[in-house]
Amino acid sequence: MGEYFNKQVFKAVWPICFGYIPLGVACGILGEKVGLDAFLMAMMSIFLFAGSGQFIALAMIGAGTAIIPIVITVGIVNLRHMLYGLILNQHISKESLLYRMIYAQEIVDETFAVNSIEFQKRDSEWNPKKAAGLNFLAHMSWMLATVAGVLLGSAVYIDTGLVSYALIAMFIGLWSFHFKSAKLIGIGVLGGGLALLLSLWLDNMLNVVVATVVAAIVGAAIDNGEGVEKK
Amino acid sequence: MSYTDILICIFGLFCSSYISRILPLAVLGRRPLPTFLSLWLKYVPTAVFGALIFVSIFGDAHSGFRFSWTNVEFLAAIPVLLVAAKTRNLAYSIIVGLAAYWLLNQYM
Repeated sequence: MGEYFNKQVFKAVWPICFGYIPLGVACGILGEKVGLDAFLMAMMSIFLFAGSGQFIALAMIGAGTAIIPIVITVGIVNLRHMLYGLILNQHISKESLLYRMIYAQEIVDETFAVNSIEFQKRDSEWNPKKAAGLNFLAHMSWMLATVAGVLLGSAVYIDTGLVSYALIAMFIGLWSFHFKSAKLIGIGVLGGGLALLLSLWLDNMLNVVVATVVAAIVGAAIDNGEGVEKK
Repeated sequence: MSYTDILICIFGLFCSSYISRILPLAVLGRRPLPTFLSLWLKYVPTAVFGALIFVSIFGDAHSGFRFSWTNVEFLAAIPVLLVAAKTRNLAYSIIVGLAAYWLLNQYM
């Protein structure tokens, strides 16, 4: 067990767990409002495990959207995890298929950010076992925080506007991780503008899906290749 | 949505999200992606968050756009954006967002 859970792992994971408390609780409160109980919330947090994806799915469930548009929208929002997998591959491609199948489920913005930084530190002795330990602790704390949110939401009155603003603030925080060049910021603004424009003709978040696909194509077309993620 | 519908929905969400996660790790191996596809993937996150933020703040054509200086969602986003750009910290961004949104609602 010491190979998976040790002081170095705890030191790396605590900021993620700390951040997951307000976020997970807010997500659980929203879940409770749209009809999820503690069991369903735990299932969602185990099998979907995606902060922004869960918020979007819950908001769409609350709005009465059908299952298929929800599944497609969240799938598009989570396409970015493919990029993370491509970058993580260099560190874990020698592990067993089972290890990689489990690791895949644990890829989220936060675990990717911390693991890739730790793997890249020359003297940190970070390895796939420590990464797996970190992933497990992060996933568990997310699940517990969302279940706590459901229980809290059913016990006390909490302003829905405030909860949904936590989501907007999280989107802005996640967006800021990509403020690495003017083109990256510009494509985000383009995606936003297109989504507003397309809402004249498309709904059920389809405007967001189409705006994302189109804006990212424009980004790929204007990118001169200098900024390709280093492998 | 009924209890069973939500369970089915969660299973669907697992499938549509797991595809992106497992493809690079189990199928693609270390083969490089076609250049245009990897460039496209590089711009997907910023585009998706830009789209989600604008729609959440300014609304949409169906519920009515909210382009105004009294739009609390918009005003509260300004300090969040500044803090996020400066700290790149999710927890700080959320705390500032909740505080700004709550304060603005008290006075507007």
